[in-house]
Formats: sequence, structure tokens, C-alpha cells
Amino acid sequence: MKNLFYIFLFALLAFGLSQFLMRQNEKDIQDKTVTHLTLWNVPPKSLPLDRQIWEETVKEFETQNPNIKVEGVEREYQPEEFITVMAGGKGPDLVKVWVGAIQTLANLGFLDPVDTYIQNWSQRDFIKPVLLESTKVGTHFYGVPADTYFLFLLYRKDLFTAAGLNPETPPTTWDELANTAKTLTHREKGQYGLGLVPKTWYFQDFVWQAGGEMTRTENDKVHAAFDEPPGVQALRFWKDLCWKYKVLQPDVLMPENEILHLFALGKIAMTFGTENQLPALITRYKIDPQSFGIAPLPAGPAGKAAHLGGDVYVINATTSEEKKNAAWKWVEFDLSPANQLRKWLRMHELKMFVYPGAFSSATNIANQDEFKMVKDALETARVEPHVNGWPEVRDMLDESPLQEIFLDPDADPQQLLLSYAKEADRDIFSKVKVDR
Amino acid sequence: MTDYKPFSIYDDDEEKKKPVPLPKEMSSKEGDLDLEIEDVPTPDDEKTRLELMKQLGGGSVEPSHDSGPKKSSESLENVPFLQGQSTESVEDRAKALIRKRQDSGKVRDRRKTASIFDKPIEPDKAIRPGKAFWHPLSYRAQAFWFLFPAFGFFGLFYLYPMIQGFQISLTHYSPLGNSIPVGWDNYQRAFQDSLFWQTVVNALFFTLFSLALGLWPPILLAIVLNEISRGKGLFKVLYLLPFVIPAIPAANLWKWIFDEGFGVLNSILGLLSLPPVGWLTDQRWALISIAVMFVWKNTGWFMLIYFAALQNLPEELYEAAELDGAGIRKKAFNITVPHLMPILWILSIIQVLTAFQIFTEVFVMTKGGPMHATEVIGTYIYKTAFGTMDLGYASAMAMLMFGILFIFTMARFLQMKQTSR
Amino acid sequence: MEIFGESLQQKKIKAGPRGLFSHQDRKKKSVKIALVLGTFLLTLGGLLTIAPIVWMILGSFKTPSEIYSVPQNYIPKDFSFSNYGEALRLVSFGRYFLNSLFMCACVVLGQLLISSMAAYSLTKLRVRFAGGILLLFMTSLMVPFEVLVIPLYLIMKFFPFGPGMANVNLINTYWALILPGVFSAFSIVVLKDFYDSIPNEIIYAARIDSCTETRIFFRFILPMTKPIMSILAIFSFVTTWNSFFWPLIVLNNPDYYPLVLGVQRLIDTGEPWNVVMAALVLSTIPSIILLIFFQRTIIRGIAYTGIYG
Repeated sequence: MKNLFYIFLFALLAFGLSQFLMRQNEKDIQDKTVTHLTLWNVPPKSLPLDRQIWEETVKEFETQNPNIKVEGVEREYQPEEFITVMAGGKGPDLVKVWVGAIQTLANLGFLDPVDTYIQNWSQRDFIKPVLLESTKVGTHFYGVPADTYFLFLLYRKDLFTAAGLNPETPPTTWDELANTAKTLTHREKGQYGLGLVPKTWYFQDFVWQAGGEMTRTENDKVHAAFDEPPGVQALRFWKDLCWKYKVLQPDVLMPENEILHLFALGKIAMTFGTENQLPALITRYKIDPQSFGIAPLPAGPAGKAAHLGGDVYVINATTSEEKKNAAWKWVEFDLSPANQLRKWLRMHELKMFVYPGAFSSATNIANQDEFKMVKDALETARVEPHVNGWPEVRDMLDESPLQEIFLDPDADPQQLLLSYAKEADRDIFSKVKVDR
Repeated sequence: MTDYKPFSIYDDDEEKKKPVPLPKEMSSKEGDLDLEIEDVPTPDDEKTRLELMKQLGGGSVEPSHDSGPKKSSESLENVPFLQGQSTESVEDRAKALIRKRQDSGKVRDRRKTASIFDKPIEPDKAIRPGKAFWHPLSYRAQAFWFLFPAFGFFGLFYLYPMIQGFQISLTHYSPLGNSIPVGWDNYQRAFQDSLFWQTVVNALFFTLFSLALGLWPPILLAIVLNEISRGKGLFKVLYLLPFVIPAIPAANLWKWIFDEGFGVLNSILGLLSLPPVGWLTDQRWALISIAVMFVWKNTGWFMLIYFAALQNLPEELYEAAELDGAGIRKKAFNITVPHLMPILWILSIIQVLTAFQIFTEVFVMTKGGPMHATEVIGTYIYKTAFGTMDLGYASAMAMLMFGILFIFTMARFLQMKQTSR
Repeated sequence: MEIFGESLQQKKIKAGPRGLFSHQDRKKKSVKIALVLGTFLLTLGGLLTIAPIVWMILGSFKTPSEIYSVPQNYIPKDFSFSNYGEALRLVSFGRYFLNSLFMCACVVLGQLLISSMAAYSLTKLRVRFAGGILLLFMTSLMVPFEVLVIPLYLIMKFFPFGPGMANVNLINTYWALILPGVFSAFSIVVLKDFYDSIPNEIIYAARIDSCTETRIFFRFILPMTKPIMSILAIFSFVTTWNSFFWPLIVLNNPDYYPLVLGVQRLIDTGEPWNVVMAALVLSTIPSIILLIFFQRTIIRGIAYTGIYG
């Protein structure tokens, strides 16, 4: 028994040592003429099809640019990881980050302005201006929109049919939304009409639909505008959804991913989400793509509005000039119409779920018939406010008033928004500097 | 420190009974033995001693008689003049004089000048070869080398980052190396931040709750476990299982159990036809629910340690008490509970240190919501550091928390020392 | 291997010191009732303790819709291992398991050696300010890891002397996982308490026989402290096995991931609960086996020597 233990221990040590030595060997193969480009966002091995497409893209890219070697890393942008590796000087040369994070990262000096690259870029004019604008911090552009998502109303067609509703006519106004959700709610069966997470990310669309704004910039000063009547109206509607119609998920503070689980399982009939969340649901729960529908957000009193966002390519400011150029070459290659079309074809060939969010909005792939929905949405789409201090205000709204309205039946929307707008102006907006 | 009596003139040591110390010539011959000498009397000491002798009424004593390999206090004891004299008044006078001189700084207080690795040698300590510090077998060098690895790892991986963290807290931090020093601004901001103080209160509440729930019941469980005759192993493993599960999945598991609509807890309440409770969404319940999970995870571990301590209790104590006719209650409160006290001290320190910094469980289960009802220092620091990426402020808050915990631990240490005396 | 059902003879040998109640006491009716009540309490507590774990194991056999069914579906309809298959497909268990094992073995061995050496020095070699040094060590338990992570990362990148001097880059190696775990204030505190209860005479005797301290330590002290070592081994094994935040930061290559980080990734990417539960059960089994294997040694050992003297 004791001997066995020692043999085991020895084997373990040998294993570790061999790994260590192997790594050292890997490092030695370095060639001066080749630029090594470190990329994040490589799809993990558990998604074999995505991985395959990614590897094909790399191969194609390396044949076109023989002096660039791509080194992929299976990592996604996570603030705590990113800030640490950047502080350690081991940041990736190129990474896709959520557009809402650009402000913070640019202010910390992590990102390289891409103005010079963008100026001569053939695809520039095809990118939706509002999206490109959202990558601007101060006077510089810091990122290139790589893919796009739109906020949609996702709904279960099977549940609609079961409740006697027409699955092809999803709700188009706030009232319809509330009433449809009420019809679809069967608490005793554990079925709920609407999944709504109390977050600014969803709330701002309702404010826009009511004709309001989240922030306003006047005389070079930003101030919170969500306490104006449209904002109050939107919050009042949320309050009604929760307390008057009682159509929301049972645990009102449920995070998005769990809402999506429940949606995929048919426990929640409607929710707000982006279409790029769907493929994962389809593969994980093995559900029929035909069983759910995608519809534009219902119109509010002031008409339709929905926000779009997406991931943007950002270039590390701390790497060498040649790596930056190589990174830009990758961006150009990845977003070129040829590559996007190839990706579209391959996704069809591999029988993957094809969704518009996987492609750059700079190409006319989005004009395909199957993406008609997106094309409509593009017309009314808006982006999140991108002023300094907004991330803090967003967090503040997420954590207090929006939760309170779902938790406290006696909360007064107007009072709440007024007090928090005052706090946002006093504590956050008055302290940040205004760029334009 | 208790074993060291630098000022006693008479004690029952055998050394005292030894005749006059070796004359100087002989002791210098022994020098090549390279004996470790803790403290060679300096001329100053010598002068003081002579002065003392004079004041005590003893005649002049040859300084050469007592500079052998002895420490200064011992050399005083072995002065021929004092040998055999047991007049108490002389002893008292001598002691009083030495104290007085020590207070006025004329007698060197060894405790103030000696290095860390230099405690006085005890009479029962064998004399070791090698006196220089660099000698690998010298006494001090061994003490040093034994402590060195731990100190090295601690210094490199904890102390140095902690100092860096303190430096970061004095700046408006930028990870790329151009931080702006802002002095104590971050601390000032923390003192004015009402949310920060709310998190301190929440963390305190959480700590108190988990202490109340998690520190005492395991004692009862351990006592029962010690009394039952079969199934001890089974219970030990049962209670220890939660400790083995990683924190994040365990927190996720409990989140799923506490779920308002689909959780098993509310489902059971439903069977009893009670209304569902928002365990994690109700501001009154959320922190308590998390504390319950925390206690669940640690109870087994604590029970095991208490149990170990109980097993270690000498049964003679009980038997003696029984002979004296003590009842069960008397035995429990006069023997069992006092025996468990030292370990209770240590566990309470560790429990406070971990509970006050609680982060993972809270972050997974509620993310600090609903409406900051479960926002504790750990989550607030995390959000500040990686949400808004304001590491300067986050570090300042961490340092304040460190201050609170350090004061607590030190107070506890001192208290522990006092009670053990 | 008998773990729970020892034979009567073994039990007699194993029966440790007696407890609070004497034989006379045990004959009293009130004591009998109290014992029955106590056993009941212990059983109840035990059931409550493992109920969530049983729930987890049941969950690992359910289908996603069973997990979220109303009314609650307590027992899964059929015990199929498809969730386990899925978990094994998503996480390369073999590789991660070896990584974890290697990491834990190194950390546990290193931690025990270094901690016991430090504790020996602090108790038996009469270091001055031992209490102060202990308090200094304990400060490592008082600062949240979020604040330390960036300096620590920089240390790992320029190990050990910092930029501009002799250094090796340890990022993305096993070293970066192992080294910071080797120091543990908790182990030192516990071991110090334990060493305090070892009589000094043993050491004096050895010294008079002109043993060096190293020899005394390895030949006399370490063998005496086996039981407490096994407790600390379990503790540090479990904490190392379950660590994930630091590995997440310091590793680029998924091939070096420890097992728990692999499971963590499943949670992050939003896999359904049943699969996560299955992965979790798989990743916890090694620790549980270790626990069952060791629990006898631990307790018996303590009974004879005692941690807290």
C-alpha cells in the first residue's frame, strides 16, 4: 500500500515535470521574421463546429499573410481577468469585448485608437453609423464592431398555440404584451407569461418607447433624464406587469441565464433577449428551432425602439506596432465580405443554427431574406448612452430602483426615479469630465 | 517569557550551588571549544555590579572572578560574597535596586537589545557548538533556517502584495503604470461613502449571525457524538461532506434550493400549505439564508475539531470530580466547557476572519441584492475593483477592512493570553 | 475495508477516552432519555446536512424539465447516466483530474513541510516575538484576494526578483498554481498549538545526544505529528482542490486547468443544471474518497495526541 502510494506520487511528479519541460521547448521555437498575433475568443473544444470554422478562418488568414502566425487563446473578455493580464503586460493583441465596456477600458489606457486604420477601410461606410459612434470615446474611435445583437421579444410558439393564441401574431404594443402575458400565465402549472430581468439594459428600451431619454447632454454637461415623464411611465408599466398583471417569473431577481433556461424549457412564454443567445439554447436543450419565434419589441406610447449592441474588436495599446498592424489585418480579413460569406456558407453546410448576430453588420449578408427581421430592427435601433459615468449610473439603477419596483408593491415610480436621478447627477455625472 | 527570570538572585537551580565560577585564565582556554555564549558581561555591567555591591554593603569584589561563561544575572548570583547569605532584606534591597536602575536605563535590559533569534539559554538547555550566527549549526541559525521558508513564501506571496495593495490604495490606480498619487483621498471617500458603511454593518450582521449559529451548535453535536457508542465514523463523514464541495457549486446548489418558484424549500412549504417565501429576494431573509448556507458548510468541520478536543480530555478529571461527588451539570460546566474554551477562541477568530470577508457565496447567490440588502464588504470591493475598475478605492476599502480585522484579532490574542495565565 | 461497521473487538480497542457520563450516570433514566434525544438530534442534523447533497445527486440524474417542474419532482423518473456522459464530453476530465491531483499533491506536501518547520521554530527554538510573528502570518487571512491578485500576477511574471533582474516567467505554468498555496497561516497556527503540547524533555534529551535540530525535527517531531498532519492534509487538499479564481487568472491554456475550474467554466457558459450537477458530483468524488479513507486515521490519531493541548 505504501509502495503504491510512492509509485503514484512519483508518477505524478514525473507527469508535472514533463509538462513543464514540454512548455519550455515550445517557447524556444521563435522566429524573428514572423509576427505572432495573440487572439482571444477562440471557441472552446466543447463547441466543435464553431471551433472548426474558427480554425478554417485561421488557416485561410495565414495562407494570405504568411508572415503572421495566429496564436489563439480560449479566453473570453472578463473584467477581472482582463485587467490583471493587462497589468501584467500579457494582454492579448486583439480581443472582442462588449461595446459597453469600451469606455472603462479606454479610460484606463488599454485600448489603441483605431482612427487611422478605419479611415482607409473599405467597409467603414457599411457599418451602421450609430454602432460605430458607440465605439467613440472622446474624439477617438477605439473599436471595430465585429458582430451585432438586437434586443428582441422571444416567444414560445407552442405555448401560444396551447393557450389559443395565434403564434404568428406576437404582441405589438405594451397593452397587448401585458394581456398576452396574462393569458399565458398559469402559476399553478409553473408557467409564467413574461421573463423580465430588472436591469437598465432592458429598461432603457422601455424609456425610449415611451419617448424619453436616459441621459441628456446640455451645455457640455451630462445629466440624468430618466426621471422625466416617459421614464416614469415606463417604470409604472413595469410595476403594473409585476403587481397588477402578475405575469413575471416567480423569482423576480432571477438572472438572465436562468430566465433563458426556463424559456427553453417552456416555463416562461415570452422574454426579451438577443438572437445570439438562441443557438446555445438549441444545442443544449435539443429543442426545435421552429418552436419559438422572434419579434420586434412591442411599441410603446411613442412608437418602436430597441437597442442594439455587440462585440467590438479592440486592439491592445501596449503591444508593438507590427503586432497592431497584424491585428488590424486580422480584423480586416475577418470582417471582409468574402470571409463573412464563407462563414455563412459553412454554417449552412455544417447545419448550424444561422443567426444574424454571428455576422458583421458591415456586410450585406444581413440583407438575406432569412435576416429580414434584423433589417427592420436596424431602422429603429439605438445604442446605449455612451457618456462618461454611464457605467456607474447603469450599475446604480440595476442595483436599487429597478429591483425595488419589483420587490415593494408600494414603491412610487416617480419618487424613486427622481431621487436616483438626483443622486446620479450629484455623485457621478457632476464629477466626470465631459468629452464633447 | 514566564520561564525567564533575569532578576532573581536566589533560586533553586543547581548552578547556584556550584562553587565560584572558573577564573578568567581557565575560561579563556576553553575559548577554543567555541561554546555558545549568550551574553558576555560588558564593562558597563561590571561597573554597575560593583556599584551595587558597594551599596549593599559588600566590599570590593575582584572583577576577574565572575566573568566566566555565564550570563550577567547569573554572575551576580554567584558572587562569593553573597553565597550562603539568605538575609531576606539584602535580597529585597538588591532586587529593588536593580529594578530602579533598570527603569532609569543604567542596567541593560536584555529583552530590549537582544535580536529575535536570541532568547536567553535555559538551565536545562544543552550547550551547542557554534556561536556565530553564520555557523550553520549554531543555535540561532537553525531557528532562522527553520522559519525562513515560511517567512519567504509569506513575504513574497502575501506580505509584498499586501504592501503593494496599500500603495495602490494611495493612488488613483492605472494598471499600465501611470497611477496618480492622491494621498488619503480614497480613505476619505470611504469614510463618506454611506454604502461602504452599510456593507460593514451587513458584514457584521452576517458574522454575528454565523457565529451564533455556527460556533455553538457544533459543541453540542460533538458532545453527543462523543457519548454515543456506535456510528461515530458515519456521522463524521456525513457532517464533513458539505465542507468538501467547492464553494461556487455549493452556493449555486443552495440558490436553486432557495428559489422562490422552483426551489425545493418552497415546494415543501407548499406541501404544508404555507405561502412561499422569497428566501433570496426578501430583504429580511436574504442575508440569513446565505448565513444558513455558510453554517451548513462549516458545521461539520468545527464539530470534528471540537470532537478531537473532547477526545483529548483526560478522563482522570471526570473521575476525580465524580469522587468529589460532582453531578453531571457540574462536570459539564466545570470540566467540559472550560476544556473547550481555548479551541473556541481559535475557531472564533478563524470564523470571524472568514465570515467578515465572505464573498463567493454572496456573489453567487444574490450578487449583493436585493437592493444592497446582502451587500457585504467582499462583494463591494469586488464590484469596485472589477466592475468600475477603480482599484485604488477598492484597495483602500480592503485596507480599512484589514484594519478592523487586525484590531479584532489582536484584541482576541491579548485576551487569550490573559485568560490562559 | 471496513469503515463503518467495525467488529466488536476492534471497537473495544478503538474506544477512546470516556465521555462526560460515567457508568453510574448512564443507568439514570434522565441520562438515558438525554442520550436518545441527543442521538435523535445528531441524526436529524446529519439528515439536514446531507439533504442538499442528496438533492444535488438526484438533480444530476434528472432531465432539465424535471428540475424545474411544478409540482416538484423529487425523484427522477429514470436514473440514466446521460448527464454524466454529457459532462464528460464537455470537460476533459482525465487531463483536468491529473492537473488537479498534481497541484494538490505539491501544495499539500510543501505546505505541511514548511508550516511544520515554521511551527517548530516558533515553539521549540525559542524565537523571540513568536506571538508577533504568528500575528503577522495571520494578516494573510485578513486581506481579500481581489486586492492581491494584480501584485501577485506581476510577481509570477517576473519571478522572483522583479523586472530588470534575474527572473523567470511563471505565468501559465503549474508553478504559478502551486507556489502561492504553499504558505498557509491556518496550518501554522494549528501546528503551533499542537507543538506546544509536546513536552520539551524529548528535545532536550535529543540535544544532549548532540542531534542537530534538523535531525530532531525529521526523526522525532515529524513522526509524532502524523495525526494532525492528516487533518491538515485534508484541509489543504480540499481548499486547493476547490480553488478556481487564481487558476482562472493565471492560466491561458485550458490544458492546465484544474478540475474545479473546468466545472466552473460549465457554470459560466450556462450549461443546464443537470449537466452541471453531474460534473460537480464527478469532481467532488476524489475529495470524498479521500475523506472516507482518512477519517479513521484522523480521529484515532487525535484521540491519542490531541491538537489543542
